[in-house]
Amino acid sequence: MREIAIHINPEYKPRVMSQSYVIVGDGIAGASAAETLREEEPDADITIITDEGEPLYNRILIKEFAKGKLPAAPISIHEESWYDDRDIDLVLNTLVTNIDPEGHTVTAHDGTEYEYDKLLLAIGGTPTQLPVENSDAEGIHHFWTFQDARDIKEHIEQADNSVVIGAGLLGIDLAAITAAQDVEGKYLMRGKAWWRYALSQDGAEIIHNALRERNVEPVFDSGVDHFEMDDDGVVTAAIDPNGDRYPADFVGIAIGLNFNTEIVEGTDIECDTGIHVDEYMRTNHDDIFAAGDITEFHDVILGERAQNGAWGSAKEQGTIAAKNMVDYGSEEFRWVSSYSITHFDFPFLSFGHPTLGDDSVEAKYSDTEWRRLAIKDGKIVGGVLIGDLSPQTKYKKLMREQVDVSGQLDTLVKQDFQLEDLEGAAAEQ
Amino acid sequence: MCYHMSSKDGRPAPATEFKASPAVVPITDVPPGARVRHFDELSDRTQHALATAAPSGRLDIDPATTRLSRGDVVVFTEYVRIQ
Ligand SMILES: Cc1cc2nc3c(=O)[nH]c(=O)nc-3n(C[C@H](O)[C@H](O)[C@H](O)COP(=O)(O)OP(=O)(O)OC[C@H]3O[C@@H](n4cnc5c(N)ncnc54)[C@H](O)[C@@H]3O)c2cc1C
Repeated sequence: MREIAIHINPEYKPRVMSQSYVIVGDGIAGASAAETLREEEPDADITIITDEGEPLYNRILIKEFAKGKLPAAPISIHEESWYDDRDIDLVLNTLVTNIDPEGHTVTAHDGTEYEYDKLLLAIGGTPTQLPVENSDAEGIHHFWTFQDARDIKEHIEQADNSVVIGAGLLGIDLAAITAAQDVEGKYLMRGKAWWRYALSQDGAEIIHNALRERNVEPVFDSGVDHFEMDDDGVVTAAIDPNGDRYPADFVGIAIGLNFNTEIVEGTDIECDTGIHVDEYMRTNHDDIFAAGDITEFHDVILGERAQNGAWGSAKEQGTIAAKNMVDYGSEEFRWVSSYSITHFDFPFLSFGHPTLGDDSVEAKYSDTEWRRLAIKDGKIVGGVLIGDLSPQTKYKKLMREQVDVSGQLDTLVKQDFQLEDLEGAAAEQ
Repeated sequence: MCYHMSSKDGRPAPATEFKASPAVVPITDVPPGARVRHFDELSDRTQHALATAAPSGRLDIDPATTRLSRGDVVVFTEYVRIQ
């Protein structure tokens, strides 16, 4: 019998097959994840699938385009060559309709199947439709994509009068667009104040006045019962629940987001309003992660599940998700989100979770300067600053470090508040 | 041509080229080719510097650490250009 000598090289390491990563969504969360994955894993296969017809653009600048202040070119963030240069497969105009966590595949609307070792869902949300009569009339706009912004710009430039519905951060963008385009407008709100869950009447009044100066009239205790339209199906007016009629040939609606959870609903991936992830952005499936607006994440600062809807947070979650897809547990998401309004001649910034809390403190310093902090269990969980943003970093630090500020709330809202003003343990932070 | 690549991509020139602290000047028209940033894209430190800019427009920020580059436009309560 012939003998065969087998030489085993002690240096030999079995070749690890390169990982394949599939990302659904090419918003800021998906795109920043792709960039980080490529940095961390030069040989991995990376595919990014989006139902939009264009690669990543700056969603938080499209309002400036619709206002007519910013040209289209600077809104683009990535050209297709950006993906080619990094050997990332970009699949445009493709809606993922199904996920098979056991089979490690996702399926697109055209039946194409994509296999993955690790999957990232960075699928954001879709504006909520108003469930009232004629809400699908022509001339009624929602606002999420660059294409929406193009349609809004084209229409508002020819409009005579407008109605905006939705007293929140996106609604005010629509109101600012009508103002910038010199179209007289009515801004219909429930209750007596803009963003009433985060601002008191005093704070909201600063915003109301700024809107009025720009020919946008806030209408309180209002809303929409139904729309009227002409024979061509074009909107002509909004009728509010009090029966008041507001003529409008342009209508903008921003009453909230429905998070795009449909594709996980047939699976056992845990979700509620968003997809549940831990502080490493991992779902209850080891190989499936989520990032950006779509996540209900474990907020290590708040100590409970939370959801953010801000650009900086989505970008950071994409980066953190990617790091943990490569090496789970390597970095947690610890972040105080913030969101500003730049439409007026005074600045406005909200941070953390200003609508939460069991207590709050506020102060008004002038007609355009006001502050409110939301407190939970003696700690800052969020706030809104109007007029003077300089204390932002101090408040965020106190929030990030979970400093107990109970008993010192008045000190916190002194106009020139310094961290050294705090007494006891809080001061030592 | 992409006008909006991060400084990591090699252009426009990185902020470290600043010899002194950067300053901002208000503008009404965005120059062609300028990279445009929304205030919310900036770090807390750069936001703070911008929100508390001296009347001269000078930013109290270490030029070596800001990711803003000369010529960038920032959308804040007005459009400002970094110089
Ligand atoms: C008009 C407007 C103004 C805003 N202003 C500000 C601001 O000033 N400051 C701020 O911080 N934030 C602002 N935001 C919020 C901010 O833009 C979002 O928080 C952020 O863009 C979320 O990023 P994301 O990647 O998580 O989700 P998205 O940007 O929503 O991206 C998700 C992507 O996934 C795609 N997708 C979804 N489902 C599928 C599927 N099944 N198959 C394929 N693709 C899919 C979507 O089409 C989309 O392209 C604003 C948002 C809007 C719309």
